[in-house]
Amino acid sequence: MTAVTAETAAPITVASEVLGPIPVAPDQIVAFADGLYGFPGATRFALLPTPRDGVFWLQSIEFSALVFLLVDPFMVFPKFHIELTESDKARLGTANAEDILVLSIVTMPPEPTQPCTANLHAPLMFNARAGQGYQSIRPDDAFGIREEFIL
Amino acid sequence: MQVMLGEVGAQTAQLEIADANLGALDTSLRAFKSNLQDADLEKAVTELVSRQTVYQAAMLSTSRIMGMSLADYLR
Repeated sequence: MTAVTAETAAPITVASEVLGPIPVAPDQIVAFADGLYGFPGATRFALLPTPRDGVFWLQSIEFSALVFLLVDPFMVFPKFHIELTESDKARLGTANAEDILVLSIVTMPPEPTQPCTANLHAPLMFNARAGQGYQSIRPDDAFGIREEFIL
Repeated sequence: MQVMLGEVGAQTAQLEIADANLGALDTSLRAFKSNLQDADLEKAVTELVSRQTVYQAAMLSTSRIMGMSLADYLR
């Protein structure tokens, strides 16, 4: 991590339609240079923890209505695994597993009694140290776009 | 020809992922907006979690057991 000045280290306030105005620290900001699929113009997000282990918000800094719920796929899918590809390493700028975070976008069910699903086929991958992320598409079909789980 | 088919396949995959992203956004917003007007972070998640209280206890214990790091899975 490069040195930050006092000015850049101050939290900013981000508008969120779901969460309200939220304070975001500089180290919670992630750059998605290519956006997400379907949202190519959304290039800056706040990755925010929740009280639940392994559950996060991904709030767009540019678009207040753009917010996703993310889950740690390793926590809720015991069989989940991922093989780092050369493309991953290039996009993330690292091959160091300690710096890499993998999170899946959650889709809430239409009815509360139904399970949530997580996108394990196109997980978000983060270089936590550099504050960079991208949505990968896994080269195999080992895991699907809508894998059911109980949140 | 094979290259072209590969590109079409890649584009189809990208459309599917875009569709999934849109669906995730839509359902999340609806889930929260239906009964959370001025929720703070903690309240929002509490509400979210309480939607499936039947399974919550079981899941919590599972996720505590699954205290493995990414390095355990990356290979």
